[in-house]
Amino acid sequence: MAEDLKSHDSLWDDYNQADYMAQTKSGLDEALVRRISAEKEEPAWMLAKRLESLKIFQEKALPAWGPDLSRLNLDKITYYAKAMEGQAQSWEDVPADIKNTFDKLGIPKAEQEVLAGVGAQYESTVVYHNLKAEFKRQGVIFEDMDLALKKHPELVEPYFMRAMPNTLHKFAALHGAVWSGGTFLYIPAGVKIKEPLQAYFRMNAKGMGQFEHTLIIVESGAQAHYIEGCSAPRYGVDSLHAGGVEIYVKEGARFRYSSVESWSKDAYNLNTKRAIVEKKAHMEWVGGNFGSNVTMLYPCSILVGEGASADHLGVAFANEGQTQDTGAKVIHAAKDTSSNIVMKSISKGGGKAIYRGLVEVGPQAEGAAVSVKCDALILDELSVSDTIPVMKINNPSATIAHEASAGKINEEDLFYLRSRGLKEAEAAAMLVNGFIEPITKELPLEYSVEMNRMVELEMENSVG
Amino acid sequence: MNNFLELKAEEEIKLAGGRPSLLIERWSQSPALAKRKFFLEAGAEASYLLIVDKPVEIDALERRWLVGPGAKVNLYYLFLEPLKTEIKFIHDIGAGAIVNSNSLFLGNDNDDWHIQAYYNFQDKDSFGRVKVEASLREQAHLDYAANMNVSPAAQKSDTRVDMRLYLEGKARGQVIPGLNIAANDVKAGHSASTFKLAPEDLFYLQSRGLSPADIKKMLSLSLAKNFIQGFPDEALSKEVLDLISVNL
Repeated sequence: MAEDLKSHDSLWDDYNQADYMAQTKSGLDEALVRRISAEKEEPAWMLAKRLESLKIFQEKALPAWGPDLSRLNLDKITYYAKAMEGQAQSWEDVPADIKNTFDKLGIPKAEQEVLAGVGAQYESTVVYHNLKAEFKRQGVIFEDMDLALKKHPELVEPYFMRAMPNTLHKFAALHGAVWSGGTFLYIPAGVKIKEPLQAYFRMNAKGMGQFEHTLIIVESGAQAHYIEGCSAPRYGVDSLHAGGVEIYVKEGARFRYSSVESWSKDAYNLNTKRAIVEKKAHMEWVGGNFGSNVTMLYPCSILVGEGASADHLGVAFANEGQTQDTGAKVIHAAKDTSSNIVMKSISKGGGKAIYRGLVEVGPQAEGAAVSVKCDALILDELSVSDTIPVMKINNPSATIAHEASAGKINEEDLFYLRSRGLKEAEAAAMLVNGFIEPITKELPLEYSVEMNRMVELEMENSVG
Repeated sequence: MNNFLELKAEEEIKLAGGRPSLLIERWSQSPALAKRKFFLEAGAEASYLLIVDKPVEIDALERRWLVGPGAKVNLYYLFLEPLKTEIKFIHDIGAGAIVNSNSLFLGNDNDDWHIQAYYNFQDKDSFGRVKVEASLREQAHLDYAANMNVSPAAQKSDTRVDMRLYLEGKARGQVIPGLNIAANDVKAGHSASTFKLAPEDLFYLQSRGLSPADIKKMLSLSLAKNFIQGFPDEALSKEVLDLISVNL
């Protein structure tokens, strides 16, 4: 394996033998959807939802806009694979090779030091999940989504795929058909958790698809911060991530969702994340997109309650052969709602970074306030940056401000840092880290350091 | 200055270097052509004013500008009447060429416009400033997509698009100040905003005896004055200002 690793260029390119893949096959049909549901012993309504989603997936066309997805061969994807039976009660019970992977990713260590709870998914199923006892006592539920469906159906059924309906687009429908694993998080009214909760999603095998579902309910006045990390090794064969995240932020609650996505550079990351934000509640998205061949990801906040607000902060780094088509979507559907979008993109080595945003102010959204700022750094002559911000304003009382700029690294700054003894790539990495600092400073220190390290890795061999 | 105050029904107009030209296309006074193409040869200089002040049934409205190396054009697009067709403005901008583009929409009732504007910066040192302003009332609607396309050859180009909307009543707007950049050594910026009078400003103006109607008129006139800034001809500036005032 050591020899193989030499040809891999990602920080996360270590991988394990995947003997369990012998029991799987690629491609998707009704029999597989029924098998997933049967193995998980799901209620009838969930099977019906899966079959309905499959039908929609088969009928819907690929998106007619955005990056080219025609090379993604959906028949070659393995939609469901279990690396181990059941879920471990402690890290010691997790098979050694899988535990080793998570050790390298620093998950058990982070659990001990900074996290309120942690979940770890490997291929299609969750292998470990834990929440500190003090939060369990307060009524917090932090579970593997498959288990939550069994243990808390009364909480899952009313919310499942309501913010993210299976009719939204082709990959939302695919997700509805084959979702597996993921996180269920329930924060009771008034409970405030200062330490972040984290889930890590790891694809290991060649040609794998991962479709975890994250469902989060933050009751009135509650507060929490949840972090997702994702990665996969590189094989030179397409893999697919079409996860789903649904968040319900109730009256007066505050919730922060952070994610650092570092998929391998042959993964298609076609992810859907949506939040419904109620009266005087606040939703915050903080995201970093580094890996993947193609990413299409536009976290969405639907502000349905008076005084609801949302912040969207994001970084995307597009290197050679990558298209990072990311952005934000905010729908103002109530009075006095506000949103703030700050996006930073970097393109290098022929990479293509696209900011695609939509802000829609509905007729009922009297007094809505919107601020959008997106900046792009283009590091060489081969790279491309597009900014496509759509502003739909259907209420005259809205206050909208949008600003964007694109350009290269300031030559004088680069010269100054080089005169202080830094190599050109180091100086450029330092300037890029300064450029994304407004986003990284919103992350816990460990994750901020990780994001900066990813920038440094992407900047290696850079000529600035 | 060469004045072409009434553009003839020519689909293609070529302008050579030398004296700057002023071209005026006012639909209440000249034929409303669906498509026109303007060639500005190297070093040519022109100002162009399009005034849509008469409702016209037309299949399409397309104006294409080929702005040669070192040429300069100031464009003024003024919409006082709605158009039920898609409007397309295309600008191909050569090396060292300069394009200043101002658009103003004054809409009432059910006035409706759908515009796709392309500013294609094709070569080095090209420069563009694009300003779109609109005052929309009642149920007026504007849908404007500006596409600032900077090609790989357009190094050291400098582009900016700014869009501002003033909305009242049930008026609606959709704006897309898009940037598509394939060169790294460029300056590119855009903004989109709505604007309205702050309550304290409104209170002050009313306390000085101005009625709400007067205040609205004043706001629109300020937009109009912004629009005519840089007009090459003083008499023309006054004429356009008067025309806008009559339409308020």
